[in-house]
Amino acid sequence: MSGTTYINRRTLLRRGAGVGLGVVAAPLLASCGDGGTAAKAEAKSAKLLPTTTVRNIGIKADLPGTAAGVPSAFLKYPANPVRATKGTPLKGAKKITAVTETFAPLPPERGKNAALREIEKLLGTQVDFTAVPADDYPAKFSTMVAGDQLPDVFMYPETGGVDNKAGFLQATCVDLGPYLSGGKVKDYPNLAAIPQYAWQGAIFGGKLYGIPLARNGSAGAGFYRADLFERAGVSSLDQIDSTDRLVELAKELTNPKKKQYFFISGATTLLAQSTGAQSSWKHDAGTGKWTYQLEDDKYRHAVEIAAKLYKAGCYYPGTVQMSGAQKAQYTDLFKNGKGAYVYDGMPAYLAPATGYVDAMAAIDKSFDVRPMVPVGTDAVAWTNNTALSNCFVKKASDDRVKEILRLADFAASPFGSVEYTLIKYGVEGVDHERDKDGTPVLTKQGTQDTTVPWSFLGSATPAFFSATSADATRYVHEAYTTLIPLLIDEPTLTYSSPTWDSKGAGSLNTIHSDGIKDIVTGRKPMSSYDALVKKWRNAGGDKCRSEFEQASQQQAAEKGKK
Amino acid sequence: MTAPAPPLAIRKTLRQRLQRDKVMLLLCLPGFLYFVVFHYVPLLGYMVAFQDYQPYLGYLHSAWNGFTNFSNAFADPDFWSATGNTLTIALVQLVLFFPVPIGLALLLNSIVSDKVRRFVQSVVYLPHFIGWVIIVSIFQQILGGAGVVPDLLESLGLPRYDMMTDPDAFPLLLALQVMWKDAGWGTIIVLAALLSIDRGLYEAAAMDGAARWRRFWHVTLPGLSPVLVLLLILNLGNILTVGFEQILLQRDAVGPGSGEVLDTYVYFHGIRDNQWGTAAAVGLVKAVIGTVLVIGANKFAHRLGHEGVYRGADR
Repeated sequence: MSGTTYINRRTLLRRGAGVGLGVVAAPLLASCGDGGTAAKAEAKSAKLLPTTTVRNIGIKADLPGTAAGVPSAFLKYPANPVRATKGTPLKGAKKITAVTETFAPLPPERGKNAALREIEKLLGTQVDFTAVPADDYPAKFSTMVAGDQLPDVFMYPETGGVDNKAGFLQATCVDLGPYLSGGKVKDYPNLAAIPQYAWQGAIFGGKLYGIPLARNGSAGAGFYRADLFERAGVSSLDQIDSTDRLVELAKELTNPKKKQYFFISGATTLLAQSTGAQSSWKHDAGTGKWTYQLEDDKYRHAVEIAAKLYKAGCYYPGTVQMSGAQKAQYTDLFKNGKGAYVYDGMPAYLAPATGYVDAMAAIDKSFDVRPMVPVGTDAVAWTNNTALSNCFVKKASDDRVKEILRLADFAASPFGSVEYTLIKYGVEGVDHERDKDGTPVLTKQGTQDTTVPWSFLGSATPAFFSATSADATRYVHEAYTTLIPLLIDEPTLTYSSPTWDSKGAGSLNTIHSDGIKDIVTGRKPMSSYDALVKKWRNAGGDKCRSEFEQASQQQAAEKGKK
Repeated sequence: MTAPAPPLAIRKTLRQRLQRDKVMLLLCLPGFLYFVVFHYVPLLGYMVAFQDYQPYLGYLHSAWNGFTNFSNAFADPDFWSATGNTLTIALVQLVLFFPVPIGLALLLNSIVSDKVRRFVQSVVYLPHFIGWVIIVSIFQQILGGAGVVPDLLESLGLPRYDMMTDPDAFPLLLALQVMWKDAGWGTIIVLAALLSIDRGLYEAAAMDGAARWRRFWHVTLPGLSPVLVLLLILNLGNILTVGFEQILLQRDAVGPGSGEVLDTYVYFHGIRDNQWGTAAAVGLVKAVIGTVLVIGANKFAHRLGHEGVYRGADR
């Protein structure tokens, strides 16, 4: 890096002489980086995006998906899986090393893992997979980066890895544009099924680096107890035609004497989507202006409603104030029937055994949990779950990159394919047996063998399927049928700002969420909202805005030239 | 009897001293190496505090930025608010928590039956091994808004009070939790000190007609004081470290206005933003203040005639 200046310890001391620690020191040394390490604001060129198509391997969905993004849903597992890749995709390839995070226990080694052996046989080469528990992954990732020990392909930590992502990728990873952009993605048909919004999030520093682990676009609006709503006379969410009606319902379904509360933990996500507030940034293409969520009056209105609901005692005491680390504690309160509504991401709905459907059925069969959708005529849905993260490929020869992309294509095989069945359910007869409905049921060995996180090497939007509840599959499909048309544009997918990349999910988010909690719980009055916005702007918000503006103006200027 | 040997020269050469102490030095060596490798060498990592550190560039290739990380932190009002909260919490903990293990140890010491004492000791040690997540949940069940205490207050006709979300009561709440968790564990060192007090002194004092309270005042307390001073000094060194996990879990319950301490500040403003430089700078400030306090308190202890943590070597 040309911009990096070496300074030995003595020079540093000389330059810093006279300034004791603990004294408020003005910056003595100008920052040495001159752009060698500095990231730039930019628009993500649409030219880089692969041409995506709906993947059809010949298995018909019971509830079909739409081109707009409603995922397919299956009520039964396909009886005869079909292949989604051709032949032995990695025949003759050298061993591939891969590192990803995992939410599951660590898988058994090759010798004891029938599913892994079968997958490698089908692939035609050995894949040395290191799965790291999600909590330890950021630390492991930093160590790999610092120690220059990156594997052939790796998942980027979903909680953020390095400060200057574009710089890091440029220095260490392959630009996948020449392999995937436009029609080139055709060679990898399963990757071509990854939706555009996810590919947008895979562009960094003006190049396509990532293989997305795509999700459903919207994380939804939480979950509600249909049986309790019914008790208050609400048999369909359409009956809640405004936020006022929601507030009434919340008061009606709150009874502290019986330890029944409407909300468990926060409700801002539901309320703000209902008032039609924007999600993070909004770019007005006409005026070129960028505004942040906090500056949106509709969002402010949602916070006001939340504060009123808090004052009325509609939240389970103490849960609004719980931190992310206590999520299990408050979601358990909901699962145990203490509340009528909880916010959690949609992927937590159908997850086998631990998801809301299965976990609550095990507690009380009368609990009827369903996905909530934003209510009222102003409702929008936020594009806030486009991808879990991306996978990146370490710099390698042309042939090697193609091999790794074929591995990602294999990992992204759709629901019901031979590859998908092997990844999720292992080998029939060893790892799973089909029950009377034809649903694969994992054996004890199967629960261990199938924990290799193949799907973290590449993934199109997951299809919906529940082995235990066809109703739940219908509800979640219905919810997305409502949500997808309500989706609003997320400009941070198209434009990037280095400050936002570095602080958006970090300190800026902390200031935002701390401030909202202060107001909702009445620690600070609603009148302090403006001070919060000001604080957020000064802490880096305005800097993000000017970077975004620069990026969008640049793009407008380029368009003008053509 | 032969004539006594001439008195030893006061100063010996370094070589002579090495020769004299070689067995001792050899015994120290493994411990010394441990400290060098695991404590002193990692101190070099503090260079990050003066860099715009990027993990993928490493220590050697990251750009130096002088005191920018420090001035950034010092210019942030949240940093000072966190410092204020840290000091308040530390002070409340020192005043409320510090005497508790001493009192508990004295009570334990006064139990005559060995069996009962050992049983009680085991019981009071146990909470030390329970994780903070669980302890905070237990407190939530008891003091939280839907917990036992507010229910009890209501049944008595009093207003419900949720201590867990009251910013003003936060330092007190933390001190209570630390007491519940660690008071028993803290008795270990005090009990050891109590055992080292010569029993003969108690007998002598009793012979002189000293009653229980007088014996405590004139024998027990002076016997304990070197250990208490030592503990106090060591506690001062950690005064800016008030318990990361415990506070991170409850910070949101009272808001950053009262719940942000230096360690959570570093987490939210440094680590979460991948601003390792800022994180290291705040850490370095904490370490420097801690060191100054330890050395200062040690000097002060010497002035009061105590041993403190260490003394300059007598040759």
